[in-house]
Amino acid sequence: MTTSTPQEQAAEKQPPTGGTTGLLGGEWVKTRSLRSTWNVLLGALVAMVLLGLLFTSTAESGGPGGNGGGPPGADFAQPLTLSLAGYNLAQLALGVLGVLLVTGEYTSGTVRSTFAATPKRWPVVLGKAAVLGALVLVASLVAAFAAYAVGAAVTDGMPGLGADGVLRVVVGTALYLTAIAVLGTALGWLLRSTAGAVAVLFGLVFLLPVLGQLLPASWGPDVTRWLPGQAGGQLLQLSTAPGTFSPWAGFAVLVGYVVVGLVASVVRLRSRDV
Amino acid sequence: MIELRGLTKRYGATTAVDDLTVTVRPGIVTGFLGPNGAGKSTTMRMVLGLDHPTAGTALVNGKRYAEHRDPLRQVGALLEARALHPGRTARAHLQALAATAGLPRQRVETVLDLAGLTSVAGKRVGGFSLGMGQRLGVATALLGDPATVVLDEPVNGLDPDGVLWIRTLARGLAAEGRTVFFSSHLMAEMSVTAEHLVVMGRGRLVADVSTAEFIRRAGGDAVRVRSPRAGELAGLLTGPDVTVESPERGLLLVTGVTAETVGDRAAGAGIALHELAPVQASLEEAFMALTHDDREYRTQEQPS
Ligand SMILES: Nc1ncnc2c1ncn2[C@@H]1O[C@H](COP(=O)(O)OP(=O)(O)O)[C@@H](O)[C@H]1O
Ligand SMILES: [Mg+2]
Repeated sequence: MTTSTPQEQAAEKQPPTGGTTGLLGGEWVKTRSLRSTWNVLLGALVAMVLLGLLFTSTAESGGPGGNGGGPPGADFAQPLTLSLAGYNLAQLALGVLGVLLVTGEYTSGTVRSTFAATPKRWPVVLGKAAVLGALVLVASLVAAFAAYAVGAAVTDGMPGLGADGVLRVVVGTALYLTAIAVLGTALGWLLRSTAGAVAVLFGLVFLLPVLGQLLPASWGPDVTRWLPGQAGGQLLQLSTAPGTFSPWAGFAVLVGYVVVGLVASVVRLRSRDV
Repeated sequence: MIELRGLTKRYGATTAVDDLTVTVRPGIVTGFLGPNGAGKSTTMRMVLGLDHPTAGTALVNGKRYAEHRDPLRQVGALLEARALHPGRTARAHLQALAATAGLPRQRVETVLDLAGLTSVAGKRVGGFSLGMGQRLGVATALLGDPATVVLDEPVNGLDPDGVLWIRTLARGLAAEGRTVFFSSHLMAEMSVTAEHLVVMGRGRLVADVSTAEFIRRAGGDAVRVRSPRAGELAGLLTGPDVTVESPERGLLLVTGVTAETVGDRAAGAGIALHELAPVQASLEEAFMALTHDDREYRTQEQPS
């Protein structure tokens, strides 16, 4: 019935576990085999390019609506920022993708077979982060360069890729999105519920910066610059204002959030019942 | 081999498993029997290292589950709750686990075939019936060709064909020398599938006996005889190990002899029989009686 074939018996002599390659392979199969992965990824990145097109092509008339509206914080004099401004929406979709990859394991119950296959659990946290991170990085690099190219095609005055800081902003957009997606996985591990994790993600990235503006001007900005979106967003600025993080320091703060989130997930999972 | 030593699990005020010490041996199907809420699923999750014991240990094939380097080759499990992502195909579900465990790709096709799922392997699990999902769960359990197989209520939701399939499969796995630990809340299921029984009630061990012994103790070999000459027949049936009761006029409940013997003796003496039947129901009754006290206690305790 389940008697091993000679091939399988030969395989038995090989190392007994899949190791790191197996773990990453398994997480990759899980990620790619869900239609939702591709839908969210494609949706987020197409939206990012199209929004960039919308913002850059209407920039001369003062933004969509003609009254200078548009994405918060967008500098309408800067075509590069406008062309990539769709990242604002894309980050939410990609963060949710990260959340769903983890909470989907809890709602469907597959987390039990996942942890039965990897009882130490922490490799799963890192493996999922690595697989999703790589996937989002590749896809958002494509989208960021596409948004830049589309923006350059429809507007005059787009700085060349060789100009100071431009390549850093384009690549930085992809790095930022990757970090937010991985942060989504950490929130998923910590909260286990899709609604809860998405709410926290939304709060961190969208709500707290707005609430932060209500703080006194004397010290409010000193607090809000530490928020993950504000800090990481520095990498997307051509020139950074005084009193804010430098591009890479800001990104390091965002990466700090991700690392803390993943470490907290590992610690939490070690003792928790599944 | 599964060795549980003083295994205890508390969830807040609820003691789900209370100081359970049992050894589940290879080569036979061990039935894990108990009413709903007895603690069977909790025990099995602790065997799999998914829930952490409050006290005691659960060893599988000599080690704690998490200490095995090749857990899927050691233990395969079908747990109670469905553990399949509706958006993933049956094959992808198995491939992901096979990759993680470093199992040959061919194993996926082997277990799909074994579970009769080859034709639907490329379909998303969301469209599967309860029975197909259960079959995929069994395929998942057998993926690593494990030495120990844990099946939590595997017949739930299966049609009669499926029940027969699981039963035959479990016995076959045991015959290959594997440890098979098979839970159910149905005594009738266990009596035909398992050679040995571990019976639980309210988190505690109630019995750890062979199925034959359990049935004997339960009076499962009782014979119900109705005859106008019951008193005369009772005299013919006496012997060592034989008990004869007469709960009402003309009716005898006999243990220690088979229905055939009773019929033959009656025929030999020319005594007419109006009824002659082995008493089957007493099995369920014995199970209920064994776990009755625990059940009562539970209902009283619940409101607090
Ligand atoms: N995760 C949990 N949290 C709280 N109580 C639980 C949990 N799992 C099981 N229980 C309780 O433990 C007891 C045993 O449950 P379970 O192991 O599912 O029994 P069985 O599988 O025999 O029906 C029940 O009272 C149940 O409510
Ligand atoms: Mg159960």
